[in-house]
Amino acid sequence: MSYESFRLLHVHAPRLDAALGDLLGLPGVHNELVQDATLHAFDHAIEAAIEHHVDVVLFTGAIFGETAPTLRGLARLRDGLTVLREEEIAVYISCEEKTQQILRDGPWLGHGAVTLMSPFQKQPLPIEKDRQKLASVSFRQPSHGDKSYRFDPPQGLYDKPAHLRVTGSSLFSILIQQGTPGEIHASPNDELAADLIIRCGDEFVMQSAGQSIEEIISGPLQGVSRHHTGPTGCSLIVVDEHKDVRVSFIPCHVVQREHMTIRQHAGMDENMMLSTMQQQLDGLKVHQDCKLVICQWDLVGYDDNETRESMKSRLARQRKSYSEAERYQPAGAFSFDRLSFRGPTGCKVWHHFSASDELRLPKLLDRHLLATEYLKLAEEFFPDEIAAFESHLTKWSESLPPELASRMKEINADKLIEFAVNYGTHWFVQAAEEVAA
Amino acid sequence: MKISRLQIERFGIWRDLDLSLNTGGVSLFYGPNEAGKSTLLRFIRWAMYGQLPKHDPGMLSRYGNETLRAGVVSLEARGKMHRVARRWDDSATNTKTIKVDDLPEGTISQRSLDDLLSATTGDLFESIYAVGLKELQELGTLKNEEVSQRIYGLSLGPEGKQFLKVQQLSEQFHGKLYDAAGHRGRLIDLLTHRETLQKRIKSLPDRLGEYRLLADRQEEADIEVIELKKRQSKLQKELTGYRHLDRLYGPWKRERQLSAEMKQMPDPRTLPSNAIALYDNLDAQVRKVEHELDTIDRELRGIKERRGQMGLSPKLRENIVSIQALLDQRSWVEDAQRRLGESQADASLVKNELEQKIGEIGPKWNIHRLDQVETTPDAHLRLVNAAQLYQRGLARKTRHERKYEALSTSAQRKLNEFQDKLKQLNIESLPKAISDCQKRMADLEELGKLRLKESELKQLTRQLHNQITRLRTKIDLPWWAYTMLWAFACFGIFLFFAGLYKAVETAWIIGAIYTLTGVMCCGLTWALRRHYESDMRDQVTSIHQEAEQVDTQLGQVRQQLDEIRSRDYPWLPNTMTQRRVGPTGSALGEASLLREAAGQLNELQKLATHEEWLAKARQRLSALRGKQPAYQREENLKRQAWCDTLKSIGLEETVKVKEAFAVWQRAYEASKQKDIWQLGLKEIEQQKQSLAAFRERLDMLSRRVGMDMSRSSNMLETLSLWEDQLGNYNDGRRELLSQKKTWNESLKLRRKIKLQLAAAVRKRDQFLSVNRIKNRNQLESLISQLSRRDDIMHRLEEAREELRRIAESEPDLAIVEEDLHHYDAKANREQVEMLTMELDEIGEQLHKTHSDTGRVVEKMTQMEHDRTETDLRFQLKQVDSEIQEVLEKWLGSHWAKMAIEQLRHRYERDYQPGTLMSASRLLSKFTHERYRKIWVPMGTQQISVEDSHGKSWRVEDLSDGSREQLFLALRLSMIEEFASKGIRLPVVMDDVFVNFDRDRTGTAVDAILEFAGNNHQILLLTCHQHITEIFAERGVEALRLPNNRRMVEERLAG
Repeated sequence: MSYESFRLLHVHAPRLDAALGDLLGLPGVHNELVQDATLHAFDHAIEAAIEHHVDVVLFTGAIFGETAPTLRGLARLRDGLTVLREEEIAVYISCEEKTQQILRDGPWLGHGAVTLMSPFQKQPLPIEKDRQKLASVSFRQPSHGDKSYRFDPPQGLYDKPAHLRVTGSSLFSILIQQGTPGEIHASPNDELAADLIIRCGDEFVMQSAGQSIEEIISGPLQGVSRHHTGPTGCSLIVVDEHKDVRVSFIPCHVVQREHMTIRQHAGMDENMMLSTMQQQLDGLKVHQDCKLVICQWDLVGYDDNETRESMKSRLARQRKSYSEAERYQPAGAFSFDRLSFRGPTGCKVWHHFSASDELRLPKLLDRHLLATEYLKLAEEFFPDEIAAFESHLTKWSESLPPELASRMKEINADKLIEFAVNYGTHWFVQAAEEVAA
Repeated sequence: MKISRLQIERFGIWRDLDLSLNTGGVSLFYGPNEAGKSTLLRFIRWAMYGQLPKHDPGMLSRYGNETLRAGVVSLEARGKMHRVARRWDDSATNTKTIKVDDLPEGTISQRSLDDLLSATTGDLFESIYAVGLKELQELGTLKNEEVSQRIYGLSLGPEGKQFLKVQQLSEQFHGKLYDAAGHRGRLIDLLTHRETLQKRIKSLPDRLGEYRLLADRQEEADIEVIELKKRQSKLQKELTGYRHLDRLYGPWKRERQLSAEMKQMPDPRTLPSNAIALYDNLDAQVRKVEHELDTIDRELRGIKERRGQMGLSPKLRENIVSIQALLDQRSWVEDAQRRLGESQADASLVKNELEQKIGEIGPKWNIHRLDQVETTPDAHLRLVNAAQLYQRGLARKTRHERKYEALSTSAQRKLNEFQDKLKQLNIESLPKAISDCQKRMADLEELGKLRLKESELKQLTRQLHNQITRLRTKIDLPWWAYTMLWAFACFGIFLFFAGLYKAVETAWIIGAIYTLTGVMCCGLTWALRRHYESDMRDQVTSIHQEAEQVDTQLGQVRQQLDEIRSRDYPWLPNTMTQRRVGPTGSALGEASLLREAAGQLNELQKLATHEEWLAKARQRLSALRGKQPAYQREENLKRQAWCDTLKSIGLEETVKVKEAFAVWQRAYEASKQKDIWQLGLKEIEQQKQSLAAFRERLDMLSRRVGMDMSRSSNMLETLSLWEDQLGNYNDGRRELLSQKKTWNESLKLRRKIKLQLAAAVRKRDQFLSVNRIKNRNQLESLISQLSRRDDIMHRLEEAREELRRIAESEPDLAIVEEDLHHYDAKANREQVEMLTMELDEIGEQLHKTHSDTGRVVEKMTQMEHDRTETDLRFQLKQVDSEIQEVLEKWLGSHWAKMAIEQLRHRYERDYQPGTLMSASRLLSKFTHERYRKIWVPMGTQQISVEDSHGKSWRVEDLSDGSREQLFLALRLSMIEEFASKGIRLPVVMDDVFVNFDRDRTGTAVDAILEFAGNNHQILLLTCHQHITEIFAERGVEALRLPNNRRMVEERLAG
């Protein structure tokens, strides 16, 4: 049975006009760019939809930030949808109830063929009273000019057991299979529609087509903080006439963060250090629409989610690095001016150390006996203390203002250890120098 | 420093007391209460430091009213005895005198006494060395500054200070982030800022609602605009219709009138608008052509008459071309004759030069010989190459010869020097001399080692003999031991005989017992003596044997020494000093000999290097000699090649390269000159041939024309004559040709004018027939009618064009002709005015609506681009992030403090000062390891004690006995530490074991005895009998102090 090719662009969590956090120390000149980062990323996604001649654009996840949508975000969504309508591209938005309500009440969806779907409801939702017909929207496939498909759930389908419930993503499976909807759109497991939508439909589409790939690239259109602003974007899913599915990742982010690691060693002077840094900088991959690259430099480097042993080895590595390092100056005084960034035209770069500015970069700690001893102690002390971390938090939180209690859940032991090790070492070095003076 | 004697003339209760003390170990003084033990302690302090205890008010109250204190302390320090006599006499002008040794009274320097006391102060002595029970019980007595430094945290050094500093830094940092007590810090600031931002965000107006209202207003306005535009469009269409009709009516009516007039006009013909002028022009052309024809006929007749009068010579006309050709060559003839003369003169000069150059080459040279020489560039190249090869071969040979000569000369010179040196040193064989010199050095080194060994063995022999002497004195038992043994033996003999007698007389069993006992006593006596003496003798024997072995070794060493000394070195050069090592040669002399030998060896090694170089030079000379024939052969071959090249070029053979090149160069130049000369000869010959040919042509033409050439043999004169005749002929011929040409041209012009005349007449007739007229009058009448018709036609076209234009301006409107027939201009105008007014009203409404919409859209755009909320949210987010980070830093620093605390605790335990460590060991001994460690928390003056379970106890929590043991241990460890720095003072202890139980007292006494064994003097005062007994058990007898109770009672009564 021949099949018409089908192109879907999936945009997850555009977070329109959401404020990016965790950008302490960012120079004020980048403020506007960072504030508009989500909007620019959304624009790139719309451009990508047009450029790749997609049939459908699917928006899922957080359309806006975690708080109420802003007027700027809504206006940008309206403009984007208008563009898509002019290009005759169908749009599906799967969002939570609250966002749906806002979208339905305002002039945000324009007058085009936009279908709102709820991951928690069985049917596509009506948009407005006079747009009732859009609930079961039909969209044309450009490759099949004389024919159009309609999505009409078969009678009684939703009365079936839970594992046969139709989900938002089933829509696409129907389109792929071109068969009778009732036969193929049931999810194989007892999953909620939310699962499938949040998993973007992409996977489901591929499963329905009998295809699978090792990795599904999905994620927000633009990260929410310094720690999430890695390469992000949208996914282009192409199902060809042989039902072969191809998924491509299209980067859309405007702000990109890169975690760079320098392993200091004995005899490494400033020039060598800068040379190493420059090599890493030259090896960066930045797409052409990116406007700001945040380079976070770590002098030692460690992995997340470390086991006790790996944490010990990391701390030992840090001690070794500190003891071998030649440089010794406040991190804030380090000059990045000699580094050159060869990114796309107009793309800026912001360098900063992961350590706080007042902390000092390590020196030859062999001269500072107690600092070295402290680092040795840290290798055993902190990994052992991890077990009692929860009780420590409870105890410490008692002396904090009550409004901070909720934040204690987000405290990460690794981060605290990093602070504790760095600050402790710093104090010992400073004390040694003051005593010597 | 130790006290050997105390002599108290008067101090407290003591009068005329004289005590001799044991300077090595413990001196125990026993006396009951009030016996003056403590006074003795105070006396020692007063005598040594001149002051009474500060913290002993009882003493002052008791003896403060004394008028005289006097006494002497004898001290032993650094192997010398010193006497320190001190006298304080209040009644005699309150003088204080002190006397040390034999120095005159009053001249003693405090410095001398300070030296004796190792610059210690009375307070230090009181705190550490003079310990009473009271001092032991009070912690405060350990707070002397120097003592505190050793005990408390001040002693942890830079690390301790760092810990204190780190603590301070961490507290500062912690408090800066968040100070829970003061509810301030960065965290509180951020929370306040966050609250402010949240309030500002909340206070923002409901922008979405406002925007929605604006959007609704925009939508309503859009609908209104659409309605208005519809109405406006309809009215505009009506208005356009009326205006169109009005515009059409005028042109339509005019067109109808002109069309009617046009129908009455005659039909237009082909008569041009300038018909009269055209006719006049044609007529004038006919007349003009007729006049031109008459003129040309007259000219033809005149030319015919002039041609009949002219005539020319026919022979001259036939040869005119040949004559002209010869005349054209006149200048060439003149030039050729001149050049011929010049070439002949040049050839003569060149020939002279050639002969001169040939003469320069050599006497045997001529033009023929010159032709044999090859002067081409190739020949020159060959000559140069051959010369280079020849010269190179020659130079190589020469260079080789020079090198050989230089090397030979140098080698000969060095050989002479080398042989002179050998003769000078009287060396026959250099390698042997070097080998001998090395042996001599080895012998000298061996000699040094043997001397060292000899002295060691001598020393050992002396020690062994001393040891034997000491042992021999101990072999004999003391007299009382012999007496006892003899008595024991006699007693055994007596028992033996008594037993025999008893066995025989009374009872054999008892007798046997007696006998056996007697035998046993005798045996035991013999065994004891034998055992004791044999042991000592064995030792003496073994030492004897050892001494003999050493003597043997010493003999061997001396023999080796003699052997080495007796060695002679006849092979050594005479010039080198040969000195024998004397039997009593000192190490210094041997060292000098060794240096000398090294110098000799160095010199010989230099000579060996010299010899080696000469051998190499000889090899090189031989090699050079072997190469010489080859260079000679090469040079011969090159020379032969050079001569062959000279021959092949045509030169004579010679080995003089420069000369050969000069000959070749001159031959080359002569050859060039010869070529120039031969070229000149060829040119002269050619010029002569050309002139002869020209003369022949001239003669032949003269004969053809019939002219007589005998008059002139000069070719140039003949040519001048011919030139004059040819000029006359040419003038006549040019005139005739001119007349002929004019005749032909006039005939052509006449034929052309006749044709023009016929054409002009034909055109004029044709014009009249076409217009159907016969003359000019008829033509003028026709032209006036046609002019009127054109005017009407033009006006009609204009009217039609206007109609068309108006119709096209409104393509959508269709006007019916019937409407135009019924057109009423007034009614139409009224209708137009009414519609215009209505349209103006709609326009105003539209403008107003557009303005409103524009304002709404502008407002909406402003709202869409307003960044206030975004800015605030961004700030809030950053504040949230910072709060999180500060919180993490705060918690991190909290955790860091815990780690620092642990590290500090570890340091406090493991890196306590040496005083506390040795004190810990003593305490552990005193308390049978119940308490193991004494430590002081950093930065505090709080002593803690750790028990065997690792639990720490503060001093206040310890029992009295344990506390006294702790402080005793601390004092003893400090005394040990002072001693290690060279401060040794006598220790005076006054009843320090009172609160110790018996076990701990025994242990403490053991520890004190062990302590005293380390060269410490301890004066121990006690009033307890059991203490003296414990000491007595350990071999220390107590010295009983005189009973002063009576004196005290007297004093109290007094």
